[in-house]
Amino acid sequence: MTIQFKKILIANRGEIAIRVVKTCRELGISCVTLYTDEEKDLPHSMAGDQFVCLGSGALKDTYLNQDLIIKICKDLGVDAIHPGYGFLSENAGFCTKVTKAGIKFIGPSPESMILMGDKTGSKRKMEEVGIPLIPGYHGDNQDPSLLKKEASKIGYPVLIKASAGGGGKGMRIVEQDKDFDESLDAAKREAKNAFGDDRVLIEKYIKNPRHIEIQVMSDQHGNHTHLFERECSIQRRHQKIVEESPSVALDEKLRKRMTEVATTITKAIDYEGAGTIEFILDGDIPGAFYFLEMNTRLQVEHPVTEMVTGLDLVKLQIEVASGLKLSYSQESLVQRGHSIELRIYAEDPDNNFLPSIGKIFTVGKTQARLDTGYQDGNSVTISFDPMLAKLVVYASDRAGAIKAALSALKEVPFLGLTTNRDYLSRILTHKKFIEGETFTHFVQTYKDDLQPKKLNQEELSLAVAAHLLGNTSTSQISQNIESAWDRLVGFRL
Amino acid sequence: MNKKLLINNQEIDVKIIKQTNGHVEFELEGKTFSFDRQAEHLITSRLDNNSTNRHQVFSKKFGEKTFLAIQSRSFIVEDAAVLARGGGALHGAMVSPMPGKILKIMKKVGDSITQGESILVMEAMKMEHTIKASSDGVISKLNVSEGQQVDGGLILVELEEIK
Repeated sequence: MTIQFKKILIANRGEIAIRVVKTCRELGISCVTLYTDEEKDLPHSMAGDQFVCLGSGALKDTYLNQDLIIKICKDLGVDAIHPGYGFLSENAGFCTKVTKAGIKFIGPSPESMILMGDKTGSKRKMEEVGIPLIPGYHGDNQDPSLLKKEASKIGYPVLIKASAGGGGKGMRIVEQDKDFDESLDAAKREAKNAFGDDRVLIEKYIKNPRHIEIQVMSDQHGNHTHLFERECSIQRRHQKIVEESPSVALDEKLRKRMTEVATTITKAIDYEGAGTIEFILDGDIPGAFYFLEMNTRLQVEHPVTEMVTGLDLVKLQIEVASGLKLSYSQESLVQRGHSIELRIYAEDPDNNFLPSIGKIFTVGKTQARLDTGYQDGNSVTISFDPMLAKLVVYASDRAGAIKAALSALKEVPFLGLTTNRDYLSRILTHKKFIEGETFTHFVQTYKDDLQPKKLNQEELSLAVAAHLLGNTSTSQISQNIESAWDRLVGFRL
Repeated sequence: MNKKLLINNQEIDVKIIKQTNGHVEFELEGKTFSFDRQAEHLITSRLDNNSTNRHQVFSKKFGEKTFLAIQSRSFIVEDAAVLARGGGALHGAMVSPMPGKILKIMKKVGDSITQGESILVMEAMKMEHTIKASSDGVISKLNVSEGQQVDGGLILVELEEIK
């Protein structure tokens, strides 16, 4: 059996649109890409075999304009839509509309999306099938003595949270039994003031959490597989910046347990396609992990999984959507070597991660895999996510991958913009990172160590020299324009 | 010739000994340096022992600023004299991030403002950018008016900081 799709529309932009086009080309499937008036110079605008301008305006009129996107599909004879990540990728309503229009949505069923998109509903379902959840009390009975009893049942430290809450208000960490009453009163008072509702819930407080996620892939024939884990504990402002596979925190036994839980979930919800099950791993209790949520789409950080498994996840998504059986068996998969992905952002880590804008004079070239939606001469505006690129390296072990990542970072300056490159290299060279002490509070805990170093004499002298020497006589920009394709070298299949 | 440069807002004194096309010699922090530009992103330094060091330096001079990347770090170098032209010290001055048009000015000279308060809105690359106070202070100078086209790196507003 072969893939039945003749033409795929990519309902996305930037690096992920270019990424999906690459696989379509390899599969000999024609593809359609979208762009807006403001994006005419960006490489994704002309990445497809056909491209359609969505005009300009707010996202709801362009990339989130469901009816317009479906109309384009019909006009151009598109058989399937790849939603990428973000935008409409987890929109069950869109998925239903697309299906009704006779077009295949490359992703799971709307039912799976609705179920896993609902935080409460998904946890209830997980409880039913015996998936470990963060121990907690979510009941209506708010009697203080009962709450205290529940807290000791869960085991200290616990976290008291406002049921109606968010933003840290009405939240208290309680270390021991004797502090419970006072903290409960304070949390209730704060919750009452902030939300007009003083109901609270109690959860186990995890001091040293790691973010571990399992990549899953299921076909329409009941085959549910996993593609091992990714560790994404290094985050700033709750956004991942360094991702790797494998995780140093998992031994064979724990990996087996976590991946089995992941496929138990996909079986239980009759999942189709690529997905990610996110877990919190408790750094203080060996082997304790809890279900957090499931993302029913391709993830930003999917390349590290591709690197260690040798699989093309977009290709698998397309094959599965087309009704094909998975081309491999779980037993045949091996996690080989070590891969690290760094997210290069246009932002200033030394000034509250303030997004930066400007013109990119030089992206740079590297042998590593660089998934980016920008090329030399492009301007970065504040209208989209400040992620400039994903730099993905591969080596036989973690130490080698760290070295490769540090080298590659130097090769892609995104000259003209303030980026987080140096901050990333400070993380990668931090003793605790090298030792694998990667918890979600890493950048907060080692904030002082991650401050920039003073410029040394060599750096100063080079900066002075480059300034005084000026530009070379030929126009640098025109010489350097190249397609983003050239930079996808190093992409392993 | 002595020159004051600003490297990432840090002031540096340089004594230029020789500057010809593609070659420069200068004194910095009491030490003499000699560099040659070999290619767009390649600079070499001559050492006393007749050997040469290779340095990959990404650089682009754009307007009065040189954007640089050395290893994983990024730099902006400019002549201190250029910056001082508006009469403003670096501290307490709000600079246009890029060329654009001033859309709206919400404050006037003499107004007290707190850090983060919006002073003016400019449009650049079809996007609106709000220029906010970098610290608490009193507006001492407004160098632009509504509707005006401005270059990048221009001092728009000067603040007298309250310490």
